[in-house]
Amino acid sequence: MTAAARSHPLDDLAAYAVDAIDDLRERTVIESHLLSCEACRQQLASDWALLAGLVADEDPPAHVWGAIEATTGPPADPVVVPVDFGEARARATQDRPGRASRRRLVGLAAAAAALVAAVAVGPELVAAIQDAGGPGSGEQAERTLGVLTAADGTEVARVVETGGRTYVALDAAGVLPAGRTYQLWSLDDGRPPVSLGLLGDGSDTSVAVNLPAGTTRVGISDEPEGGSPAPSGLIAGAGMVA
Amino acid sequence: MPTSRSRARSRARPGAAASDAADDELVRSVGAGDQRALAEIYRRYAGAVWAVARRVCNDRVLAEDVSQTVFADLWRRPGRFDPHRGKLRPWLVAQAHARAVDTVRSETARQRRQEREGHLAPVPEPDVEATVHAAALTEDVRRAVDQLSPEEREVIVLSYFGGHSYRETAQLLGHPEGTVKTRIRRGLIGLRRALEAQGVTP
Repeated sequence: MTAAARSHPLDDLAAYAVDAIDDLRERTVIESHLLSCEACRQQLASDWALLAGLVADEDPPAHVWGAIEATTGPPADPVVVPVDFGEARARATQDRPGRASRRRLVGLAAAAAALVAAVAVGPELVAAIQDAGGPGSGEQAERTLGVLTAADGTEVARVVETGGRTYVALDAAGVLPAGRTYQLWSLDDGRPPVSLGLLGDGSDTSVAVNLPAGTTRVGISDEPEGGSPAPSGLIAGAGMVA
Repeated sequence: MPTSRSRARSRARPGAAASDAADDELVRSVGAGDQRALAEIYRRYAGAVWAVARRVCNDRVLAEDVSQTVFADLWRRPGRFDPHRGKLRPWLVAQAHARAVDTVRSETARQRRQEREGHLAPVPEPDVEATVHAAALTEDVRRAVDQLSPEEREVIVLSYFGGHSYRETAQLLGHPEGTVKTRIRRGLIGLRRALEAQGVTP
């Protein structure tokens, strides 16, 4: 190993540049280093510039801009339709009989009775990654921005910030049946729910998200693949501090 | 967030305004709620974003989702782009690549679940040559990729174009994980040198 490789995690940085690091803790270590290392920031920018030149530009379909314009316009009026979480649980159990025990969908059944009965939890600083085994991981702090709970108080997911990025941790949420996805919503009081993006079906338990500045409250819902313009049933909510 | 800012409500179309503004200036305008600035950024870089999303996802519908998300995210959080840390085009492409990779991994996980449950034929193992073909590289880039050692070429192709993590790539190739990361770094160095030798400045 060269002196440069010892002082700068060059191999890790290269893997990071091509998105070949999918472990949150490993990403956190690299992102923490980037915060304090100008040389590595420049290296990453250089790698991204190189990679951005590998694929020739190609015109996107015309309707892509229309979809973007629609999402950047005024939010649609809310159409909140309860989801039957009992049915969701049954689907999950039927589709993956061996995985039913992992799921908290049992606890989510109660959520159907209280759509936005979210438990708002204030910001909470916790020492996280306690079970981390990777190098340097013991020094990383994960800031819990909010805990998303079902109506019965069961934890469903967390919103955490680490290494300058925000993630939704879905460890307790469970994997949805095929054709379904979790969707994240901003639930600011007095405003219609605004989609903050799709979180996948729960098989990826840590999903990077972008929370707009000023977000105070979020929730996740179980939606058809591709998402919905408005939540068809909120699972949980949480207090957020941007 | 969008609702807290004074948003320009005029309907924008790509290239409708600010066509001579610098990228940084456009991003600042996006931060002020100017949808026309977003439209101009889209006009400039949607082709790059769409291309990388399409090549990595290998699926037009998924690539559309990725492209929409990248520009919608820029609208919601323009402050995430730091002009002191690089140019807008590579940053947008990096955002698109990251989202495309997430999408591919998610889709692959879904397919593998269905495969295990017997609903789907076995998911084929990734193939380096097929991935290169699907990436539809330009002649310059293809020549540069071909100049890499076979070991560097396969890890670059599988990770960047195939969306595989270094651990997956190590498993697929039967190589140590550390070796794969080192080969990714050397592959990037090799690509840069090969492109510069062809007069292509990354």
